[in-house]
Amino acid sequence: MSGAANHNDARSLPAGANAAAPLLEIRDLRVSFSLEDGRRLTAVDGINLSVSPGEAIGIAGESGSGKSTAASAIMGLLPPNGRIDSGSIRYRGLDLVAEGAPLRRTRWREIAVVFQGSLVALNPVIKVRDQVAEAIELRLGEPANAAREKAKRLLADVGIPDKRLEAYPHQLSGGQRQRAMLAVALSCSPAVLIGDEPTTALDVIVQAQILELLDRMRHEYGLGLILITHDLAVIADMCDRVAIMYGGRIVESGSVREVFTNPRHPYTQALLGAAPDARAGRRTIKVLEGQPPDLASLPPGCHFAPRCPLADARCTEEDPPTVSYEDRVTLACHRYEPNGGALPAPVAAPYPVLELGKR
Amino acid sequence: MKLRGWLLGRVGGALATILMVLLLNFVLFRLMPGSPDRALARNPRVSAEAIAAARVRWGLDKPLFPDQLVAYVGATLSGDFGYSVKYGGREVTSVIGEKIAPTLLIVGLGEIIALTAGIALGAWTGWRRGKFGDRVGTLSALILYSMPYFWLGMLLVTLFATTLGWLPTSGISTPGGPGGVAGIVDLLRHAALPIATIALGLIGQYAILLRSSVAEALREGYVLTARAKGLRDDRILRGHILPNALLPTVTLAALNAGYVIGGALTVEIVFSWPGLGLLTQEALQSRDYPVLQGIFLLLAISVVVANLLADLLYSRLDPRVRHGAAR
Repeated sequence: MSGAANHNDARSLPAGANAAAPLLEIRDLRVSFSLEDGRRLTAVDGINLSVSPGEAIGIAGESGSGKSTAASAIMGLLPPNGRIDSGSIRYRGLDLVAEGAPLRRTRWREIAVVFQGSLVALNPVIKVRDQVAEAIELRLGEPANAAREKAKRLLADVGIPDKRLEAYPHQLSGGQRQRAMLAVALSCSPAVLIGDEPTTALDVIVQAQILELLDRMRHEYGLGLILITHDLAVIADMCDRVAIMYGGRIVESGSVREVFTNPRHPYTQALLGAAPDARAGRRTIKVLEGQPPDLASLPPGCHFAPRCPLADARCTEEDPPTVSYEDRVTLACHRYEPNGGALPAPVAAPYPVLELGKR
Repeated sequence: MKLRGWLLGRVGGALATILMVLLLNFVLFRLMPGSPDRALARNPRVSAEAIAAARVRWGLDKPLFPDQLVAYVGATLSGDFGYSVKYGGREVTSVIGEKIAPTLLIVGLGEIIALTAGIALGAWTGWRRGKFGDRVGTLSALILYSMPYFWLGMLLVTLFATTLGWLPTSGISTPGGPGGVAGIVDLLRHAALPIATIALGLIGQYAILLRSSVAEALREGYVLTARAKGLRDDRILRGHILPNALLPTVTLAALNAGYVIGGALTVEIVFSWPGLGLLTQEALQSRDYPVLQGIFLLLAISVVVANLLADLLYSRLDPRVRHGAAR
């Protein structure tokens, strides 16, 4: 597409950024929230993550695992009771967490986000075209006419027909709204796009269309994509790498192929085994018992230990260190020894198995 | 097409309401105790013949239904509101007509000031919800909102007219006062306190309503999107929050416009302001049916029209209503 071709040619970086530094790099990020009863809830507990241009990273986990909080922290949009306790988020070497970070400069121009539920993420009383043009005009300083023209091209690019340009969000279908939201997100030609459950509210056909569009945009624009979802199938289709989160920590990460074919962490195994697989003819699911952890009173040791069939005394006493194996997989589990960094064989966790269709 | 049908329905409904008011207006005043001829009879020097003649002249000798009703509806529809009993037989339209301007002056200006200040205060406190400024602002708005007009008016008179002596206590102009520019200044000095009373009484209403809709809008996803876009706070407030949050306030303002006539009653009494409110009170005391009927009809029509206006305005401002979409 014409708009995308010159996208990365003349990118001006914000002051203090270094074109040679990694696109987005998160180091040991800790985020907590203060609760009304005075306790602190640790939502993100020391995560490491990096994204390169054109790369797609999936973050998976149950609700409350901290995946959306991580996205808010990257945008600098934590709610008033949230706080980044430690760690760094660097965009091209520029620390976005530090005091006086140029968030006004980086938001949307460098890092944009597509939220879940475009019906609420778009303003109901403003035409979609104007919502796309707004950031082009106000953030890139382009004249109003040029911004509207560019908005028109962007909307066409994401598949909104010309006759819907003057439409309000409620006049569009759910899929069209999410397309429009994608056009809003791409309006300032960001280098990083975060998708926070971007297709969760859509039916499967529309979801597939949006994902295809997202994939196309990633390749056209050379976007670093962070896809946050609880849907592992979406990550399998879309992403190069995956990070599995539980209780605010990344318990396992690696290439999608490696993690999905040889899940090593007991939680990853449960997550992958929790859905029946029609294509593989599998009619059994693994049953993960218990509740996600209460982040306001986390027990010592591994956060997953209370639900883990493999847990022993050490798991409830010591935090498992995150170990990197052959630069392909990271694991935080006491069941695996560092053994010089060689990739260990998976240890199957004995979950109860439920056979579907039987009583 | 859909919009036109909707519009026709609304206008038709408004007309039907006005017709009902016309009937009610007729019945209501006939149910009230006392009547103009009996008021006349209290004067011992009026002869029985004169009373009977007055009854014939006023049509009171005919039965209520159908004669009096038909006569009333027919005359009203043709713009004839009858003659005032109290004001020596002057036409009701002229008695009411000369009181409209003074009322519109104080209520209109009061509304405009209240709307402007109320929107500013409501947006400011809503944006800072929970903070110190919000608490002080909301408490002040609540106090103003809960104060009756007559009490607020009396406080202002005591402070600015009696104690400080800056402004006149009542009336619309200084008797035998100057004309020209000095006369306008004199009028505005008299109008200042009534306008301030109406404005202060309404500010709280607008501020509290807008505050809650701004605070509600702040939790919406589109505000998060606007923040993520890196927009400045004032742009988020003006460009994204207010276009949504103002909808109920604008509707309330349009509805309030319907009470221009009735709302000023207590204020006009406190300040002896010669407007429709004071006229209503006088007409009530002297059982001046034709004038009262005229005022009530005017009041009803303005409320109905204001409702229609609020509907239309809301549909203009909210595209979801305009396109008939259910949320």
